[in-house]
Formats: sequence, structure tokens, C-alpha cells
Amino acid sequence: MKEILRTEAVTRSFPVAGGDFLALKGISVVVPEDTLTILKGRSGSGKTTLLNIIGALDAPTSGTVIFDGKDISKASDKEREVLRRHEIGYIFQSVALIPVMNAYENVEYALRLANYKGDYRERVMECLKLVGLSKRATHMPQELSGGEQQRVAIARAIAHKPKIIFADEPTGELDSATSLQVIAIFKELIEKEGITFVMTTHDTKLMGYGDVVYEIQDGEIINTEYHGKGEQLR
Amino acid sequence: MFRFILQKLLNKKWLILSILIGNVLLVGIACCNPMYSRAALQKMLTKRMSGYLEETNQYPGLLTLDSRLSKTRLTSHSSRYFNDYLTVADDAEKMFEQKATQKVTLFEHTFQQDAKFAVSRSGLSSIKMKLASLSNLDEHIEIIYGDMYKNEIGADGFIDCIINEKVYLTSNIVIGDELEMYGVVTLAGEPVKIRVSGVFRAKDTQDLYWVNDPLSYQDEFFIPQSIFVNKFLEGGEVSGNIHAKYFLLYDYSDIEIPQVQRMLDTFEKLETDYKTTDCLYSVYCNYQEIFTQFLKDSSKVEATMWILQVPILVLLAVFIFMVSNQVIDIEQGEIAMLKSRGVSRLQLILTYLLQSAILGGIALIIGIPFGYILCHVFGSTNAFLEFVGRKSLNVRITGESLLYALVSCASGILIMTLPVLKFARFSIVEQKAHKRKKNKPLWQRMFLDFALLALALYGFYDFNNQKDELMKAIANGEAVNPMLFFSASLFILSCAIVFLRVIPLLSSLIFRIGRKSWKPAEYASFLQITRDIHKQSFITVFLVLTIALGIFNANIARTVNQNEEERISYTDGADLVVKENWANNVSSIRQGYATKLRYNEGDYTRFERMAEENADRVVSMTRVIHDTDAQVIFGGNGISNVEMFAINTYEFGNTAQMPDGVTEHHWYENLNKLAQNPEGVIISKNLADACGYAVGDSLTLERFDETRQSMGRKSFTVVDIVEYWPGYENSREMKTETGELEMKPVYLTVCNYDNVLLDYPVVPYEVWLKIEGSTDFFYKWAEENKITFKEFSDLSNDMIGLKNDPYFQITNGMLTITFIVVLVLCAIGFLIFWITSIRSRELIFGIYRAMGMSMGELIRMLVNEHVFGSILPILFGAGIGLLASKMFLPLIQIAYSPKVETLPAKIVMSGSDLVKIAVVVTLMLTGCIAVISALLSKIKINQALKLGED
Repeated sequence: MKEILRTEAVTRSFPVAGGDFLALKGISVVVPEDTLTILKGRSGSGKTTLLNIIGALDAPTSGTVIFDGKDISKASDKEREVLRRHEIGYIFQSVALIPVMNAYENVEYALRLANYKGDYRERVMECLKLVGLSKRATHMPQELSGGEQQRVAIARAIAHKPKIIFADEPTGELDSATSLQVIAIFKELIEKEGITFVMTTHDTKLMGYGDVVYEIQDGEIINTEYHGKGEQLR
Repeated sequence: MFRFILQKLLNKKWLILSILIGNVLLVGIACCNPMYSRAALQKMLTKRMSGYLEETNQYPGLLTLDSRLSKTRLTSHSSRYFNDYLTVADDAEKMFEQKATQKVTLFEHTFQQDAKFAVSRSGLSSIKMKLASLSNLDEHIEIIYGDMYKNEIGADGFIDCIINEKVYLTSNIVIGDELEMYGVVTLAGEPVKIRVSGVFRAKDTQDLYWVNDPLSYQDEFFIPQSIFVNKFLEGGEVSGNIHAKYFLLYDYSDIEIPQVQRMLDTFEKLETDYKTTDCLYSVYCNYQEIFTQFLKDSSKVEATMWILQVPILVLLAVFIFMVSNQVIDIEQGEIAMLKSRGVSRLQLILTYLLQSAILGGIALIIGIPFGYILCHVFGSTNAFLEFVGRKSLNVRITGESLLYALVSCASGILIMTLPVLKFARFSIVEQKAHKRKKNKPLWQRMFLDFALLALALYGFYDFNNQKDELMKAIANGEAVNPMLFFSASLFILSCAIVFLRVIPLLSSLIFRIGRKSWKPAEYASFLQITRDIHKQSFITVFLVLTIALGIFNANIARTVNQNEEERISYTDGADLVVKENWANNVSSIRQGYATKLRYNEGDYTRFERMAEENADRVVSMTRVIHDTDAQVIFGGNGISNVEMFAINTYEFGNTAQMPDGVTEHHWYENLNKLAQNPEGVIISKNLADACGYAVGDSLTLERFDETRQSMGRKSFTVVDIVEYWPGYENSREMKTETGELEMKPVYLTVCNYDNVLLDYPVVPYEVWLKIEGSTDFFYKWAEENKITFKEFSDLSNDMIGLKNDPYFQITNGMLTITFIVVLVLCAIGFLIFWITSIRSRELIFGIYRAMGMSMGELIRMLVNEHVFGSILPILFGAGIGLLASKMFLPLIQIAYSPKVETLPAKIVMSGSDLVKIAVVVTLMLTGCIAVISALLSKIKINQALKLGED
């Protein structure tokens, strides 16, 4: 199975009063292509820090991050921006839509930023349809429910056809039924669009859906589980 | 609770500081109104009274009760008059509620045919003198010869009396002379016998006691007042004809404004009492005219101050409301949370009220001294945005100003608490629901903005139609109609809120035009502006308002000042216009030795030498014969009120001043026409209209000398007709036969100097000088050469007078302060808006960044928002300010125009003010963008985004 992302002995420390706080203590993970990889852990475990580093939002203190065959751990701000614009999508826990844009425009905006070459309208509607919201394209974020907003965020994240999508607690504010819906959409997108998903969660009910599940505690991987497609990696 | 509030305040220290600044300004400006107007008006009052003293040589703080008491009157009426009179005089003082500095009673027997004195000494015929007494005379004189009178009658029945030194020198009376009064006896029926005991001289002629010049008592034998009363007035009886005068003198430099009305009232009451009772006295005072005029002017000054102050107070109130609203907007969640935890609405409001009261209290403590400082600033404003170090006013913090401070502080507290009422209603659930509603505001749905604009335009239209009545009202000394300023402010305000509709339309239009080609940054900012306009509406209106008001006020100030300065320089005619005192033979004419008035011409070469010695200061000098009471003979009748100037055209052209833009052609063209025809005359348009003169017509002029004797007629040819001429006013207020004041036209004739001198003797001419720099040297020269002037006008002095006029000072001071405050508020409001707007959007910026937007793009996005959210309003505000100036300035200018419209009013719009505003605004914007960029770079994407975690 092809891997899209790999980290080697990644550490990340934050300056705090009286020395540095080591949030990540040499983490090595592999994210296989076209899978759902889950970073599991309690809050404060370091899973979001890791997500930020592999998602090119942050740089590691030491160690390497290989994305699509390139080492991005030493990339400049500019290179990260380009990466984020074209290859990466994000989904956040809280309301992450741009409040002055309606659902359609939110999705379209990702295309604008990525300077998408195809037909905007077609792609936007396709993405909205994928998340089941094509009928609500003209609604403003505040007119949508939490689950609907999150689905728009997903549509926006996939619109410019990124290779990988990072989702930080995407189901954190959703009830379990809606959470399952979101996971189902992820799975569907993995199949239909060929996108890799990496998400953090502490919701144990969702672990079974992850092809690879890394459990993080105090900045270290303490356990790795494989399900479904991931079984091959075992 | 207190600590909780303090903590809350410290958390938002910048916003709170801004609110505090707003409140301090509010309190300071409100309380400086009574402080300043009182100080400035007090100065004006004292100055007017001292001016009156200088001009008339009469004491302004004098009230005189005058009564003529006589036997016949007393017998035909009751016998209480004298006592009544004394009572009234006594009461008068009580009514003033103020002790007179000096009280003087003067009794004297008036002249009667038989009131003569027989002189005991041989060789002296009987003399006509009066018997008189002045209260407390002994304290104010010194005896130079002989002795002071004794306060009792001598054993031989003689009463001691004293005379002043002038009587002693001019009459043949000597000390020891004994005299007996003819025809008058004492109450007891005894003859009146006096003996001259001494000669006196006033200790100090400047003493207030000497209401009449001590030397003016040329016919009086002064006897002790006790004896006078005892012998002639006791018990309501009167012997002889007695003129009683009761002088009450109040030190004018001590008279304060609150006393003005009381002193006038007392005077009027005494006057009516005199009419209604049959008490025989009359009352007059020197101050009535000064005070009446003063009250009129002071109400005008006060009204003007208010009118100018209201917009800025409103602006401050709006500012405080806006920032408080911002604070509470931030605390919304907190409020809602407290609400859902069972804190009652009342408790919430009380908490905020307490918080506001703390701020208000601090503002009060700082605001009052600040207001005090402001007064001094006003006192030193010279022109708009110009200050000088002039002797400051005697500003005091009065009870009234404290009251104003308290009221403004209380309103500040209310305004600060007001926004919480809106939010205190909602619990957390309702708050979220409320947040979702995004309807147009009520006033926009009801088209209130257009209604207001229509109202303002109607006001403008109405005032424009009533221009003439407006002028009349102002000429009658009324203050400007506040509605006029109100309409102007309303116009600016309504334009500002109408503009709120324009911004989204405009930006969405631009947005649509380039929808496909907009870069992501611009795309996002356009959507931000068009969709989130309501959040911005307040700052937008505020920006438009401040800029528009700033420009409008600056233009008012410039216009008012420049028009008045030009008017003064025009009516003065030149920098210095002097008319020397020439010796003449007036006294000979009076005594009948001569019939024709002749002068000894002053030596003009002295002037020429002075000009040569001061060649660096005297730019040009010329002689001008200036008659103010010539006549034009038209159809056999004399038309009076004709001014005649006889000039040397070349010199006059170099010396006199004519403001630019008043005449169509340069006035030198008029001078040239006159120069080409020695017998020519330039006449004013009103004369041409009145008599139908045209260029080429012949005109006969008759001149008069100072004794109103004709100096003969002479014919001229009309060479030109003008409307304006340096030093010429086309109408003048004159007393009609009934004593009322009426505007009468004044006509102008300008002839050639040499031509006039051909047929007329030399009369005192004016010397006009154009001076470079200070005129001090001229005063020194005149003093050294003992040259005295009959008429003297110094333009630089008149200009200083203008700058010291409270009316202009207030206008300049108030407009300057408004302008500065506007800029300060604008900058603060602007920064607050942007900082809070960025703070509240940190998460969104994080999203943009996560989506791959670069820092540069983010800043570009914000700059674009700036352009529509700030620069457009600023440009629009400038436009509105200019438009409002164009529309309303001609009307407002009327309020400041003199009674006589000498020059057409000009509308002055100073480019330098616009530049000043532009510079400040640019600084403000760059500062803001710097602050914003600094803020933005501090935002860590991951931190912004992590808001969601935990």
C-alpha cells in the first residue's frame, strides 16, 4: 500500500515558564494513501500538535515530515502556503465557515484560493452534492445547523481536490448520529475522490472506522490499531 | 462587586480609556461654557465701562437721584417729600444688594432771582452764588487757605462756609467775608448769614467722590450738611428752592455680570416708582445704555457658544455610546451567561451603572480642570487653529460650571449604561437567536434617513427664502436662529446615514463588475463589506460626520474671520488713517471777532520727514481730504449724507486697501479714469441711482466747514460709478427726528485733491499710510513731536479688537476645539473599530491562513476593507462638508455680518484646512494599518484555530 505521509522522530517543544515543554517526544507515523487515519488521544496528549505539524500549519522542532515524497519539515512559510492552497484541506471542530459567505461561496472560495482550473460552479455543486447539501447552497452559515455547517466545511476542504485532508475533532460538536454521518462522508470521499483523511478524535465509538488508529499519550504513540484496509499494514 | 468591576475595566483598558477620554471631553467642554462666557463677558463688560469713562469722562457706575424741592410744591402736596426722597435713596442701595463704593448727597439752593448775597465788605457788589452742602466733604478736601467750616452756627448767627480755589481766584471774595442771602430765610424764618472761613482743594481729583469736577463748583458756598438740613429741610419742610442730588457710585471694575440685571432692574423700578408715586424726583444712571447693550450682546455670545457647542457635545455622546456599545458587545456572552445563571436584569444594569459611575466620577475629576484649561485655550485663540500668548482671562470655576459638569457627567453615565439595556434582555439562548437576525435596521426600513435629509433640505430652502428677514433679525442684535445650525448639522447627519445605503451598493457594484477576476483577498473583503455593513455602520457614520463637521466648521471659521477682517481693513481704508489737530479760530468766531473758520495748516513736511526716516516701514503715504457731510445739489435741493474724498490718485492707489474680488475690475481702473480728468468725480452707485447720474453728467457739490457754514459749491464731471471704495460705507445708522435709529444711505464722491484745493481753503486733511510691520514707531514719533490727532485709526489695533471680541473669540475657540476633538475622536474611533474588528475575526483569519492565504493577501484584504470602510466615508465626509459649506455658509455668514453690509460676504474655503485634515487622516490610516499589521502578525494560525479545542 502506498504511503502519502510519513514522520520520523518528530519532536515539538513549546517555551513555557521554567524551560521547554516537550509536546511531542519523537513520533514516527505513516499515513497510507486513500485511508482514514485517526489520531486518538485525550486533550493535551499532543494529537492536535501532531496534526498541525503534518498538516503544514506548524514546523517540528526536530525530525522530518515527508509529504508526497518531499521533506516539508524545513519548508518556508511561502512553500507551506502553496502546499496548503493546493494539496491540503482542513476541517475544524468549531464553526469554521466564513460567516459573510454562503455555503456555495464558502466552497467556491477554496477553488479561488487554489486557483482551480476547472469550472467553479460544476465543482462546487458536485462537492455540495457529495455532502448532501446541494439544496442549501445559498444559505448563509448562520442559517445552517452545526452538522450542516460541518458538511459545508468538508465540501470546502475537498473542493480543490487536495491529496489529503486534516480534520481536527470534526465531530467534536456533533451528536453521535451526525458524527457517524460525517465519518460516512469521509469514507465515501476516500472512495470517490481518492482523498486521504487524517483526523483527531477522542470519541472511542469512531475508532473502528479508522483504517489506521494511532493512540497518543503524553507526546508518544502508545498503541497502533489497524482496521479494514489498514489490515494490510499490520 | 467593586473588584469584579475593576477587573472588568482593566481587561479592556484601551476601550475604557477611550470612553474615559470621551467623558472627560464631554465634561470639560460642557463646563467650560459657563466658565468661559462668564470670564469673557466680564472682560467685555469692564472694558466697555472703562471705554465709556474714557470717552465721556463720566463714571459708568453712577446712579443719580435728582429732586427739586420747593416750598410751593410742598405746600400744594403733602409734606413728606423730602423724607420720601431720602427713603427712596436709601432703598435704592438696598435694592442693589450691594454697598455703594461712594454715596454723596448734594443739596444746593438753586438760582433764583433773589438768591443773591449781600456782601458786608464795602467795595463789593452783591454776587450771585448758591448755598450748597456735600456730604462728608471734609474727608475729600484739604484747606489751602483759612480754616475748615465748623459744624455749628456761631454765636453771632453766622454759618461758616468754604469755597473752592477757583472761586477764590476768580471772584473778589476773601476769607472772612460775611454775606447774607437775599430772599431766602431758614425754616425758622431767620435770615441766612454766612462767613467764608476757608478755601479748599480736592485731595484727589480722581476720587470717585467727585462725581462733578471739584472745580466745577464755581457758584457754591459749601456749608456743613447737618446745618443745611437743619436750617432748610428738617421735618419735611423746605425753605427756598432746593436741588437735591443723591449720587450712588459703584466701582465699575467690581461690577459683576449677575449684578448687571439687578442694577438695571433697580434703575427701572426707581423710574417707575417715580412715575407712579408723586414723589418728586427723577433718576438717571450712566450705565443703563452700556448694560442694556451688554445684556443683548452677552445673550448673543451665550447663544452662539451653545449653538457651536451642541454638535460637538452630540458627537461626543455618540462616541461614548459607540465605544460603550463595543465594550458591551464584547461582554455579550458574559452578560448572557450571568443572565442564565439567574442574575436579574436589574442587577445587571446596576452593575453596569456602577461601572459607568466610576468612569463618570473619574471623568468629572479630570474634566473640570480640563474645562478650566480649555477656557484659557479659548482666551488665546487668535483665529481658527491659531493661538497667541495673550493675557489670559480671569477664569473662575463657578457654581454654574460645576452644575454643567455634573449634568454632562450624569448624561455620560446614562449613555454608557444605555447599551446594556439592549443586551440585558437576553439569556444565552435568546442571544444566539438574536445574533442570527440580520434585518435592515428600523430606520432604514422606515426611510427615516431620507426623511431627515428632506427635513434638512426643507430647512435650508426655508432659510434661503427668508434671507432678508434673517438679516434684519441679526441687524436688530438678535442671535442667529439655532435652527439654522441645526439644519446644517441635520443635513450632514442625514447625508451620513444615507451614505450607509450607498456603501454596500457601491461595493457590490464594483464587486459584480469584476466578480470573475477578483483575487481571493479582494473577493473576501468585498463580501465582508457588502454583507457585514451593519457592524460597520456606526463607525462609517461617525467618520462621515466627523470629517464633514470638521470641514464645515473650519469653513465657517475661515469665512467669518476673513469677512470681518476684510471689512475692517476696508472701512479703515489704510493701515493708518490720522487727522491732525490744527489750531483754528473757533473761539474768535464764538466771541464774534471772526466769521469764517480758518485753520493753521499743520506742517506736512513733518510727515514726509517721518516717512523718509522710516522708509523701511512707511510703504506709502498720501493726503486725503475727507468730508463726511457734504451735499450734492440736485434739482435745486441739497442731498445730504454725502462723503467726499479728495485724493491724489497715484498715491491713494498705493496706500489704500481694497479687498480682492469685491469689484469686477481692479479698482485702479477707477483711479485711472479720475486721474485722466482733473475735474472728474467718481460717485457711488446709490448716488447714481438716487439722482439718475450717468458717466459724463455734471454734478455740483457743496462743502461745509466744521461750524456747518457753507464753503461754497463746485461742479464736477462724473467719470465713473463704483459700489465700493476704501473707507466708504454705503449706509449708516442715524437718529431720525423722533430719536429712533434708522439706516440711511450714505453717498460717495471722490474728486482730485489738487482740483478741490483750487476752489476751497485748506481744511484738516487725513493722512493715510501704508505700513509694513508694526505701527509702534508712529506712536513714538507723534509723541516725540507732540503731534495730537483728532481722528486716528490703526488697522492693527482694530484687528486686535476683533480678535478680542468675545463673539469672535468664542467662534474661533469653539470651532478650533471642535475640529481638534473631531480629529481625536476620529482617530480613536477608527483604531477601536479596527482593532476590535480584527480581534473578533481572529478565527476567520486563521481559517483563511489555513486555506493557504498568505499574510500579504490578508493585509491586502484588510486594506481593501479599509478603502471601503474608511477611505470612502472620509472622502464622502469631505464632500458633504464642502457641500454643506456651499449651502449653509452664505446663511450662517449673515449671523456674523455687521449691521451695515459694507462688503459682499465671501465664502472662504481654505485649502490649507483640507490639507491639515488630509494629513491627520493619512497619519491616522497609516498608523492604523501599522497597528493592524502588527496585530495580524501576532496571530498564530494554529493558536487561532485551536480556539475550538477543549
